[in-house]
Amino acid sequence: MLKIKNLHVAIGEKEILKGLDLHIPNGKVHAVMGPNGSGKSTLSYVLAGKAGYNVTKGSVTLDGKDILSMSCNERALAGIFLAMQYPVEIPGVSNLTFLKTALNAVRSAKGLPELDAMQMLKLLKTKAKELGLSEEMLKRAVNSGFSGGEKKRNEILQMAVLEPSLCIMDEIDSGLDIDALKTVADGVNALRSENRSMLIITHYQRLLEYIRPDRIHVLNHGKIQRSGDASLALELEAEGYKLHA
Amino acid sequence: MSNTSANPPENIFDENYKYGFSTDIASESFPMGLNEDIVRLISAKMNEPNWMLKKRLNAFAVWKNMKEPAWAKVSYPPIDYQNSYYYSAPKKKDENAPMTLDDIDPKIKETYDKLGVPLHEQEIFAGVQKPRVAVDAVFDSISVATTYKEELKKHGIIFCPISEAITKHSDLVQKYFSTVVPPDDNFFAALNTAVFTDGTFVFVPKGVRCPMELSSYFRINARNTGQFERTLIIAEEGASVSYLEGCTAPQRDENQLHAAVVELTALDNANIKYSTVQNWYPGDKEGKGGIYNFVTKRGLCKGRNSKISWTQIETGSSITWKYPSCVLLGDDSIGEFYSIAITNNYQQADTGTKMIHIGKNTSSTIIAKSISAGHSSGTYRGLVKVTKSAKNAKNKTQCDNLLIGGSCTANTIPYIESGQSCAVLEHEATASKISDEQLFYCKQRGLTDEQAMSLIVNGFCKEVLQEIPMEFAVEAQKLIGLSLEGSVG
Amino acid sequence: MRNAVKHILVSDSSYNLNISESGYTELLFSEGVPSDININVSITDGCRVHLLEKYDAECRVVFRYNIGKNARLVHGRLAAAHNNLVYDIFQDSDSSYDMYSLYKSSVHDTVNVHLSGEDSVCNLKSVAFLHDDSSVIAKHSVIHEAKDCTSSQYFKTVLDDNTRCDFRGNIIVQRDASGTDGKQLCKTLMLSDDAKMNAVPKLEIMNDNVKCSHGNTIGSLDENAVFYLCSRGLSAYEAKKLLIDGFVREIIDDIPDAEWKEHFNV
Repeated sequence: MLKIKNLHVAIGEKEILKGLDLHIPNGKVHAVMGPNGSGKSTLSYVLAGKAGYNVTKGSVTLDGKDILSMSCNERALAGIFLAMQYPVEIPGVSNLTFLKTALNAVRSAKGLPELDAMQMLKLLKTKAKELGLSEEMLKRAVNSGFSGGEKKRNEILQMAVLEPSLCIMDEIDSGLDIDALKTVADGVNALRSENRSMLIITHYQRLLEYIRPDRIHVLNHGKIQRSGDASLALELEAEGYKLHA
Repeated sequence: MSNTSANPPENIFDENYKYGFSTDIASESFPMGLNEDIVRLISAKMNEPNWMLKKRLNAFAVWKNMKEPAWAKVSYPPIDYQNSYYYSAPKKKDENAPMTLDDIDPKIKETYDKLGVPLHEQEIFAGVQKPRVAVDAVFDSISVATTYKEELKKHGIIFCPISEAITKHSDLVQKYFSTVVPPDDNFFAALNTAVFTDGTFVFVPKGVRCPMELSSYFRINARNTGQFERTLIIAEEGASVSYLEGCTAPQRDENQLHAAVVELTALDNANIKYSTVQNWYPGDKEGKGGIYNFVTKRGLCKGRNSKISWTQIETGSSITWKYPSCVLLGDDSIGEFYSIAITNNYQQADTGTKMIHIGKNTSSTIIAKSISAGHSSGTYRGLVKVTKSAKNAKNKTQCDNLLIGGSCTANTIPYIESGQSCAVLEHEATASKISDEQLFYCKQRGLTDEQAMSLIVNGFCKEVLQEIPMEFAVEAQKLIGLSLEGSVG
Repeated sequence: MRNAVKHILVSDSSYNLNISESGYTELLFSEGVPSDININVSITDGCRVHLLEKYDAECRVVFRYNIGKNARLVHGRLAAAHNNLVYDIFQDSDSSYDMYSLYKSSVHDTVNVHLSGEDSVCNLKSVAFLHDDSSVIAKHSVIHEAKDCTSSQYFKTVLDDNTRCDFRGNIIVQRDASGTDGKQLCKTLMLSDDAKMNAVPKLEIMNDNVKCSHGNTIGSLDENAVFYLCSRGLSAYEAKKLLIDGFVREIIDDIPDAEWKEHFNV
């Protein structure tokens, strides 16, 4: 479970998050919606531990552990996964090699034995098939030459393989057509579990028709302005964010 | 109870350079310094025919009139050529008997074991034969063992120390020696021709494809000794051979000079692949000590449709200065150069290649990846020259530089000369650092800084790593990771 | 469209030009010009200046250009008469510098652009179109000294007859110049077996936070393209002319001065 208390975050001199509170219990899917510039991406990057974001006040714990004192990869090993809005390309590094290295790091941290290349390939082939990704794509360099939809599905594939306890999805629907959106949503829904929390960050309510959230929060001017159940999305769709300005 | 081990405790040496140990053996050296007498002594010691002594003396005379070149982007304190031994070899039990595997000083055998170099011919184990690699082990200036000689002889292949070839296959050596790199070619080539003591000789006769990888393993052990190997590889019509050169040296505070000369000749339809994994001692974190690696390597694609490929992974040496080159004389010949040069701490590298197109329809490919970290400096210097006779010449060059940290330097200096209108030459170069985005992406998936960098750097070098013979690929990748240790953060 | 153009017929050996307001200037080097000349040009902060150098006579000129903060200089050079030209150009912060050069005969040209102020931009675009025995030696260096500067160099050469071109293009990034974006592209079309092209595009980089690349291609007219045009009714000569024109057009079309384009047509 994720507990964020009074989080203040600045980029350089400018304060972006101004006292954000958020609590996502185990097994729940929460969505954070807000207009452009409200700090949605900042929230996801701060949780993942990206450099350049200053936490000036507040706390973040995952299952009781203080996340803010951990480095980026320590947080990943503690169970945080960020599905990025713009997944970067890593030329020359195959998807297979990348995932094997990452999964084995996660397994080592949990005290589990590492998988070898054959075991890894078998695991990946199965999971990839479920997401409509070809075996050939596993051999290609990470995100190189992937279409927008393929990149997002690749993020979900990684999520399925690494089995994190907190999945943060930063605008996973951007740039996707209906069919791609459905495949991605199916992949995400298949990963729902009692031991896993999900944070979906989105601008549009369309995604939330396919991944039904347990709770929706409106982020604007650096704070959560309002929270409600799934029906809040429709209200926002009809009236925009003006009411929460 | 204290924990003692036979090896010196790790903390005496830099953690990274695990080959930094030295071997305590009885060795024999000539007096220090370089003059005509030393040259004669060396020739006499090696029992050389007169033609070889003449070549040495001629080269020595040429060397005395030459000046050390100063155009490379490397700087080093002046070398005192008189303050070095030019011959140092492990003592043999019986002066005149040839060395067999059993004759070798057990401590030397142990050295090569530690280095992971197989000096014993591998047996078939439980019905599964590991890939065989024939090895010529050169300890200081002398070849101490060559494996698989008999088996190769059955194919007519000669693989032996060059000292042995000069006496046993004199005519053959005389035909090709110094034909690709003449003594007046450059300062270090002249020096090498005068004082070389050993190296590798490979001869593959017409139509023979060498059935196994050939490899030489050079180890500099004695103090203050320059290493001057001479390697000569000949592939006759239709022949093919793949050869790998590995090198390490113990850690010392002084710099040692390694000035080798490698000559390759490929006749019609022949194919020579020459790979180097160079891990000479690079000097310590403050830049003290380390090998000066000043090497002349050249391949002559003499015959029609001949092909010579150079693949190098240069991670060691305090200073690397080498341009493995191809002269594309035969029509339809092909030259290739694949290189990864890594510099860290205070290392300096000025390396690249020369592709000289003379025949018709020749083509060359250059892929050079350079990674600079710490306070090091890495320079790619290349020449692609198309003479008037080289109709339809083609070249494709890709040079990429990766800079790690704000104190290193990367230079790319390609010389592209075309004197022929029907030639197509393409060159591209880029310089950048490992992107923060890529590092963040990897770290967010649980990788440490080092793991992330290693993965990204390996991806960067992939095109070149693919060219390393399979038997050595894993070592090469490990070496790349090791060389960059300490460069993050 | 064009307001007053200040024409300066160079007749002295030394000039100090202070350009303190936006406008058009032409420097003409004609018959009777001194053989050795020194010219300093200062462009005041914020000005927008178009300056064209036209060479009809042989001479050696050493220039120093200072481009002030937030100023813009569009610089055209028509070298056609055995000139030896040396330029040191200093750019202050937020300035921009666009240079367009045409070489039609033997020239020895050295250009050093110093990006000394942050966020400045420089683009060097050159066309060498050589016949007979002409030879061009061009050494162009862009030296990134300050942060966040951008530079590009495009050098296109068409070599016929017995001509020769030596192009040395440098991108030098000094230790403090983080955020550098430097590009360089050199393309050569060889029309004769007696022509020679030597290119040395150099990168010297001492800061890791950079994006630098260079490319170099040397080739001849694409036979397939010639055939295609001929099959549409053009003569071989017309086809080749069209292709050569297309090759250099990219640079000429880029010139932001309609009147200059006339001069640059090859």
